[in-house]
Amino acid sequence: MTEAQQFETFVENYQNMVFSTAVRLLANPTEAEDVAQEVFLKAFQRFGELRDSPTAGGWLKTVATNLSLNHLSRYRSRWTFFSDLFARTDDADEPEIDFPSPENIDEDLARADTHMLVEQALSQLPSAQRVPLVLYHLEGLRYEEIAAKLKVSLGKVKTDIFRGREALRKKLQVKLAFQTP
Amino acid sequence: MKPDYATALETKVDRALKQLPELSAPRTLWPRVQAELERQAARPWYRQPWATWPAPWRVISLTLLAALFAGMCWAGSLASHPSETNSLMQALYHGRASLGALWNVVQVLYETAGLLLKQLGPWFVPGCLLVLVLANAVCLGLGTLCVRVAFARTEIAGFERTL
Repeated sequence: MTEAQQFETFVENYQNMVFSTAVRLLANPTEAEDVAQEVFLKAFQRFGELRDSPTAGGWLKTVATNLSLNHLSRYRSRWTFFSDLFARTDDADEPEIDFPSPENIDEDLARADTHMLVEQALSQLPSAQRVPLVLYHLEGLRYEEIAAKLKVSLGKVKTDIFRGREALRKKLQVKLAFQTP
Repeated sequence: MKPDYATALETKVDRALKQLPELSAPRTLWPRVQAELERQAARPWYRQPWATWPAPWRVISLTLLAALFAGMCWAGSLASHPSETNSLMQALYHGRASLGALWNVVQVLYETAGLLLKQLGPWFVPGCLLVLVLANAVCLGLGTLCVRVAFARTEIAGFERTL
């Protein structure tokens, strides 16, 4: 097997993980694909080390997370500077998700739908809540690590994560047995 | 907020998020990576990252950069001592007429700028800067508005396509 073929297999093995990490942080598939491409280009430069490394997955996840955060701060912050002035503080006027009725579909479909709804609800959270929420629950970072990565205070991270959980619960509570705990 | 509530909410959200399966990467990802790798490999050596340049070229470029930096430091130190600059320029003027002519042009331009500023008043430069800052802010604001309107639709549509 040539090196190019080995790298193709490597990309095939990890592309879903890298893309999922990026898309959940960025909430934009096009930007997530750009980030995933950048991750694999970096991986190619270090393919000699990564090829047989058991920590390759972790390395890719970390790079995908960092590049996504860089992307958010580099390309989004300049646009959100002004538009945040008009940002909604509550989501009362946001459209509720149209949940399917689970009684008429089989269990697998219901589970897939649930996942889709959670993904959708997550993507609709504002970046300030979604990013720390994903870093905490999906990337397994501690509050202090998130605060350092996002360059914000520990208190803000805790508040944003709590607000993110609340917003997620509100978006999902209608049909997903996600009632007030 | 009750602590029990926060803990229960954390547990539920944690479970819901951790159960999420990986999303499928677009089929265009690998062809894009492959095309970019081929494009990078086809570039001449001097357009590739500096670390991949041939060793002699790295040494030469580093030496040139060091010399340029030293030159800039030297020029900076001369500029901070006008008398030394003057004497140096005069020496050059005697030695080379073309440099002397250039020095004259620089002097005339400098004096003209000084006179212009004196005529326009001390608030002219800060005023221009303020106008520039305001113009930038307006451009940024309008650009933000357009992008937000465009992204608000494409982001949701794009995400639904992925799912």
